[in-house]
Amino acid sequence: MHWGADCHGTGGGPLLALHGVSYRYLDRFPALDDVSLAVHPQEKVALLGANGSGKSTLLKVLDGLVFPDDGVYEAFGAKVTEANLEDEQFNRGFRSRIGFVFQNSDAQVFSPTVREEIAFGPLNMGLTPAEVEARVADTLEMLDIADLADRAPYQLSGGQKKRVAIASVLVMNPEVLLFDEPTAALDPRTAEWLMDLIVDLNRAGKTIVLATHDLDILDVLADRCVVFSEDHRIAAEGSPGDVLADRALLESVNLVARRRAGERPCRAL
Amino acid sequence: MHIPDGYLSPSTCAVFYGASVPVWVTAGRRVKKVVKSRYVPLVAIGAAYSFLVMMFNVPIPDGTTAHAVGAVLIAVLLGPWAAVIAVSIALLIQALFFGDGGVLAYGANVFNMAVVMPFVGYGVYRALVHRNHALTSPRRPLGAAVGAYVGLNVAALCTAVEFGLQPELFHTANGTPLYAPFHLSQTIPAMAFAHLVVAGVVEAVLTAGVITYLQKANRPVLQINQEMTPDWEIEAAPRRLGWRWALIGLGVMAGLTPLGLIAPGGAFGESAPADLDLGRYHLDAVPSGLRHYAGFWHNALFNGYDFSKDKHPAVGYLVSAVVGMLVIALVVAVVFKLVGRALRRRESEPAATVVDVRARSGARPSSATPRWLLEAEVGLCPCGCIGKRRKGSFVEKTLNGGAGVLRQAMFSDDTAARPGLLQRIDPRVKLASLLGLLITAALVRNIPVLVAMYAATLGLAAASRLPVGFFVRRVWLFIPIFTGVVVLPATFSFVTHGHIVVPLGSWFGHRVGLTSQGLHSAGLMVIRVATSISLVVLLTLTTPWTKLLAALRSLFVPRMFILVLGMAYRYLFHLLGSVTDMYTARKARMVGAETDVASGRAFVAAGAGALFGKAQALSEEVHMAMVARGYTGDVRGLSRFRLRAVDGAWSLACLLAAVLVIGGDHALGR
Repeated sequence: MHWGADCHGTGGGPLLALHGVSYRYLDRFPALDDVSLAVHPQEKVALLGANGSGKSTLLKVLDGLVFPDDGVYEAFGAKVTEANLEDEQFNRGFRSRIGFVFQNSDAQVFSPTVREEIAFGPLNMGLTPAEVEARVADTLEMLDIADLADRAPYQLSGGQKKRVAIASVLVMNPEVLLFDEPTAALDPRTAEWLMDLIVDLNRAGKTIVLATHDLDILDVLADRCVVFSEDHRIAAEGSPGDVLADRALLESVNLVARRRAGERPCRAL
Repeated sequence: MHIPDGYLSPSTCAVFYGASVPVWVTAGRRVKKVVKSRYVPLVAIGAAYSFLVMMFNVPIPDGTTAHAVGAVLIAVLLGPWAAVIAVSIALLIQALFFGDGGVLAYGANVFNMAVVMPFVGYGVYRALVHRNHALTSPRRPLGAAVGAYVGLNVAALCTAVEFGLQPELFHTANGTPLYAPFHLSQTIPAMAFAHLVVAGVVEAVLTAGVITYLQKANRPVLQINQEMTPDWEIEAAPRRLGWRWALIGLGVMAGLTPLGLIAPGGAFGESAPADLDLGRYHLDAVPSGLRHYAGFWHNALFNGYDFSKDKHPAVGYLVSAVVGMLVIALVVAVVFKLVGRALRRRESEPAATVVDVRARSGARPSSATPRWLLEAEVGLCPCGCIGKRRKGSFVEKTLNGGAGVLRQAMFSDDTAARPGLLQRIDPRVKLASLLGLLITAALVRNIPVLVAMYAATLGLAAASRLPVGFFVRRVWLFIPIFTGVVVLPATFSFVTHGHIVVPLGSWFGHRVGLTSQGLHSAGLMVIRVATSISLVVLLTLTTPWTKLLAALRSLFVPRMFILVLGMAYRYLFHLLGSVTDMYTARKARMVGAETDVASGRAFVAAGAGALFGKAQALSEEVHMAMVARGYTGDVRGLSRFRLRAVDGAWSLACLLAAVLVIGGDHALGR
């Protein structure tokens, strides 16, 4: 299997681009307010923000699961709209080039067995059963879960479910991988494994966008950080070093607690 | 209300399968058409929810428990067609994977609980609650409660009629009933009483409780059906009809139900025989059974109604039906009055009961910790020495049942992995042969033949390396509880007329005792039920459920149903976990022991509501996860079955066994 970078159609510009995007849940509760963002090929971008600041919604917009109320989203040089995704050709192209690993593995692992779970995506892409089987076998091997292939998801631990969820996305060989809180609720060893995997995938040419509020992983997992404020706007952008050094910024977006007078920081940033 | 195998004749079962197929087809089409792909996870969650609701046992005064079905609730929330699929799938999981309700009788169970109940209940609801009524209107839970109550009772009435017709239609020359032995005049009052007084109330309270909870806590869930089936009213529901008319229509419908059951052309006439493809399911006996049916009805119709000797249960049925409907009407009226009064009283009180937790806790992060939190609570001692203790409440028992479901599923996975005879057979072949053997068992009329069949299932269990002791226990533990209690009274001359072999005295000049026909019938029924359950348990214990699912797919079930079925099973365990968590969280916050049954009941209703909210949120997320991987509404699958010699040999052996059994049965006389 080869995981080569393959970004045609963008002419050297960004892979994904948001222009002034706003989104409101149920037309009432704002989740994104005038957000503009560009993601370039083979970049690692981290979306930072407190709970409820709009990171997850942004990932859903990037994956074409919800559509902006205002503004434009372009991926691989084409506009992504609900109407465009109705087109089968466009849908297949778009879905196979962007993969999304959800925060809640229980939502993502819905098939009766691990094997069927991993086969779900490639079958929808229209590969033949023989091709699908070969790919599924490779993916199981790669993520070291071949022994789980015929197990049912309810028998799996949280870490195993995460591996299956990732396998079910990787098997489609997407160019862009979106991760929502990748290391949340994982034990340290599994978290470490996942971070290594993300770095390896990036080296193999994948573009990575991840949402997190875990500041410890940024040095490894991000080339660039995008910080969201609690009013659902982008507050700052920069390298992990710059962002982590800006204590006032992190306090203003409620990512770290304000220090009380006379108290010493309990955690060195 | 779950009918096990052995209670209904194979021809009755075939009729109900025939009646259910067009409903499934329509439901599948509608659900697929209405809101494309988004519906699938939602229906799956509905099915898992219905399964769980059937597990929520609620105590009733006489010490036993009753459970709701949830069909009307799902119909109100997701639409009646979605309810058809959701409850059908919940019933299928119960029948195939947990041995609750028969496989042959599945069609009848679907008809009662997944077709009649949601449609009747939803019809009543729609008659009472207009679309323009606000989502928070108290009419909604009220209407849903009335709909649930009526729906469940009409479903129970159907069940009673199905049982009650069996001894009339299927008996030997000397009057020995071949299947369920009770007459309409006995089944209807029995079922009507239990459901009018107990189960109907439980269903109504649960339904109203969930809707009320959703009105307070999760309003978008209430909008699902409104948004998804906008054309429903135009197509099927009567417009601008008062609830009086709905009840009258309902009465007529209920009265006509047995007609539908009996009419020979009914269900089969509605769908083309080619579509039904009955030969594939080994249902060659159907036409003769139907002729039987038809013949019976003509006799009953033209021989006149013999009121004096109480020979004709049709009279008993009609009288019971009228009484039943009157009671329903009365109860509905009383419930209306009471609930209406209660609501009025509620409205006049200040609404101080609802506490917005978020508003209290979230907004003030820097506020000082209240003093009381820093002090130890006086008078409460962690050792539990204050106050009295009581053993687990009914809620806890229900949850233990949930743990049992999990254990059972794990156990089945273990036994299915053992190297044994049946584990080696292709699941498709196993499923088809099981259906064939079930029908064979249902056709047999001699006890020795059935005993031989039962012995053969024990042999198969041993050959498949199943723990035979467990196998026997699982089957016979079920039988005394349900079938035994049901069948015992049928041995008396009151129920089954005939030759008295064990006289027990006299009653107003008549000899009373156990009749030979009654004893024979009871024996026949017990051994038939035992054999049928053994066959299903053999299938369940030797086949991993994922393979069973795949077998269903490759046999005859559309992929959309399989997808929903698979997801429903999957989410069953997830939701079961949520239920346990919710209960544990409540228990952790409770002071003292659970002494108050009413608060337990309130927890069940609110818990069921919260569960639905959680389930719905999960289904949204699942749908997104599916769409993210290219799902557009078509289901594709990997087919990896290949038939081998051992499968051919097994099929041949089953065929031979069936021929031998039927031949032997004929040789012994019918």
